[in-house]
Amino acid sequence: MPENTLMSMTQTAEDAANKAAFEDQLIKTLPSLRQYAYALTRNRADADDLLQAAVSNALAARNSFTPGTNLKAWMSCILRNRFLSDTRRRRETVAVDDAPQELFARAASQEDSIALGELRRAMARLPVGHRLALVMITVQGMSYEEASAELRVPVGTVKCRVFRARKQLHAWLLGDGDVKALAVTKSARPLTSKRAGKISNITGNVLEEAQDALAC
Amino acid sequence: MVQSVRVRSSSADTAFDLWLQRGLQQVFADVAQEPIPDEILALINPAPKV
Repeated sequence: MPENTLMSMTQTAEDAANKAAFEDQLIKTLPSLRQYAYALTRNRADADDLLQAAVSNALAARNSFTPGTNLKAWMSCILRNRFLSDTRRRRETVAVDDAPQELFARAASQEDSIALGELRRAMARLPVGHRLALVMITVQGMSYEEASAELRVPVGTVKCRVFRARKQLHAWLLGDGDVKALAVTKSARPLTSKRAGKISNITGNVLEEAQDALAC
Repeated sequence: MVQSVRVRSSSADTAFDLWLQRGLQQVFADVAQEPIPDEILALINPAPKV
């Protein structure tokens, strides 16, 4: 057999093995990525849509992944970028005040306690960077160093976000009177054009904050 | 007196952190445990063409 043919066959077999290994690893990371997507989108259906879009992007960019490196971190980066581009696209069509009512939406079940419902709603109100850091540390059991590497921010920033997220949840859930009163007043106020303009500005700021917090 | 208030506050914080951790794990465990939609799996492993 000519040497060229043999080399080509070896290369093809190696490519096939790499592809299979990539697909296996990708499937293993899906549950964790789905949690990640849920933390970003705050809605199960949107989380699955985001995950599907990120998987498509990842498969299209498979050649840019270096075998042996951290696939989950690579996928998380794709997921975040996709989330940011989708958010940018939706920016002018989503009414910010309407969003919280459906955030972390889930069909009610008997075992679903009131406290967990409150927790879901409170999580949905956290800034996206804080929510993501809290989920990585508290739910996914990552170390601050691992979360720092995955989010590409300093360890101190991750610690600060987790601390602030816990503190804010504590205030909302265990009765920081001022914060609760403010939240109620805000949601009860009718939407005027002036306020809509303000909200639009806030949306822009939130998006910029999200970009800073999530950029890869 | 001050020390006793501090201890009470610290143990309340610990209890909250513990509750928060369990609550978040419960909320997000459901998400991870649900079967991955077929459409996503099919993207990764398309069925062989017959």
